[in-house]
Amino acid sequence: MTDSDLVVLDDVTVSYGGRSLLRPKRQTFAAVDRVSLTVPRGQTTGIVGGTGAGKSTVAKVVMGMVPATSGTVRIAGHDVAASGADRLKLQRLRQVVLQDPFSSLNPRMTVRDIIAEPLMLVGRTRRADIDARVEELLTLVGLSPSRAKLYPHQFSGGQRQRISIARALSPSPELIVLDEPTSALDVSVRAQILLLLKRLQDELGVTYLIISHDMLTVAYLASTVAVMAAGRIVEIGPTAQLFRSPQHEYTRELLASIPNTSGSWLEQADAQSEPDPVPIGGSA
Amino acid sequence: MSAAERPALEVRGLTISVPTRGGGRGIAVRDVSFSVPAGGRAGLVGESGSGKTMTSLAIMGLLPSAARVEAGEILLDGDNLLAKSQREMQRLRGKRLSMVMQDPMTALDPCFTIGSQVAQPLHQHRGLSRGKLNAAVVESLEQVRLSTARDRLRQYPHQLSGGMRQRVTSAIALAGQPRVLIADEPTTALDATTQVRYLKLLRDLQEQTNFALLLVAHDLMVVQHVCERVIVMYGGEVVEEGTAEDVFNAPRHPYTQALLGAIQVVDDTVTLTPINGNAPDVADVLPGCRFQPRCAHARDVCLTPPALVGEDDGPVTRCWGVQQGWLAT
Repeated sequence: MTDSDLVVLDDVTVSYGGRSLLRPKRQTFAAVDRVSLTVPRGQTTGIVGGTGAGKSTVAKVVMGMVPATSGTVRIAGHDVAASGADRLKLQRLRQVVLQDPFSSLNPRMTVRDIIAEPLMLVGRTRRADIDARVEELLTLVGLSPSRAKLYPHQFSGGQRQRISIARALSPSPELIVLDEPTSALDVSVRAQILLLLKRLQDELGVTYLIISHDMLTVAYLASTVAVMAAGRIVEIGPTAQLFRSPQHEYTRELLASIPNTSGSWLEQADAQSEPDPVPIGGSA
Repeated sequence: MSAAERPALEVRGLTISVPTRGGGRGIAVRDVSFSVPAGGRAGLVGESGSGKTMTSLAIMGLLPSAARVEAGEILLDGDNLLAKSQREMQRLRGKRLSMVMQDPMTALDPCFTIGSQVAQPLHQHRGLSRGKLNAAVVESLEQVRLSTARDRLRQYPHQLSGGMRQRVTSAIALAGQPRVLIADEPTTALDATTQVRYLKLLRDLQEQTNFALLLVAHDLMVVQHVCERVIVMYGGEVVEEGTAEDVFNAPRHPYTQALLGAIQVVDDTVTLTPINGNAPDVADVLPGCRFQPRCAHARDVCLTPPALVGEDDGPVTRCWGVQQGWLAT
């Protein structure tokens, strides 16, 4: 690994399943199958793919929410599987913005408390200190600091996603994992959030790992895109190159499925149902 | 109007109110009118809070109890649905009027096989007997292009992918051979590649069986490929209506223009032009045009409400700029 890589996934496999009461025969299913990926510092790396491709599992492994069955994940040199002091250091380094701005914010906490909570990680506990940081963050994401005492339900979907972003930024992390950050938003608001994310990266130099099924969202933010299908990376490359000359058949289908102005968008499609979902443990 | 030219579905001056947090009532749908010709395809486009789903639920007679129709008529083949009892609507739903919902997982019952869930409406609406039912179920599933349909009869919803489940709900919706099918965001829960396949199927089915289709969706780009006419809603009102070609290639209302320009791909690069601000809440009392606070072209006149104006059969727009000629289209 070089210093320029913030996150390094080396041959990572995540398997689910195993023996259970309902499935007495041991069956496992690799949600992520031997994935290697590096995320360069200060840039955005994107992962696209359909349902069940394993892209969210990659995000969970990086966030330490799911352990890798085999392989290693390192963030700034720290092993994600570590415990103790190293783990605390990791929590400061990485933050996440989730898809649903409704369920990912505690409805019983004020916006101030939501944004202030991760500050405990960096040991900022003085009240005046916290208030100043919350005010700074709200301004940064384009919300009025006067609204800090309000609760999440008093904000619209786009504003809530801004609150999620402010919370992720609060301990000054190096990495933010964006898991479908715009999927729940309306088109007119989606562009606002994408522009905000881009501006924050330019200003703060934060690194993004963005996971999305929406090609356009990923294409706008990411300099490198990995296409996943059935747990594997089937194609990876610079965004522009992937757009211009996709190599893998699945990448081509993904690109063709982006609604566009071409009169043949619907004509070229196949009305037949898609291939069967990947069988879980071969038993579906 | 003679029966031949009477639209299959006609909504006239529909106004719906809902309770607001302050204890009062807000207008969620305001004086909405449009029609879907027999055997035609119309698209109702809008973002969250635009009133599009309220409108489609009102047509189905499935409005939440807190919502109230304040004015208007909903005519199915000239028959006013708002004058019907719950019992009459119950008999009519699935037979003359049917719906495909957004989430195919919750629309299907996880405890019953695909075969039995498709058989039920075939039996109820077409009175097919046990002997003929099996073949009819397979035929319905083949009609929605479900691969290896015969093998799916004994499968349960969880064994199918999202796209396949949406095909099954479509087979159920079409089992009663309805005059009108409402598809409310049928592809929002689906992957991009699955979305195209399903929309192609929906259009093919409409062309083959000739029901009138009302596609409700947030993505204008998607709707213009499927539908002949497009109705754009914003803040509870219709702001623009016209042929899909007109609305898409020459959008007139500033909201429609901004929506189409928000995320664009030009020469393999994604460019963004966001619309500032947020969509109005039902409780917001706005004088004049609902889009005016977010509109880049707004003038003083926009503080009085504009009417929906246009030529017969031509595009209609609710915008002072278009009507007074000072907004470039």
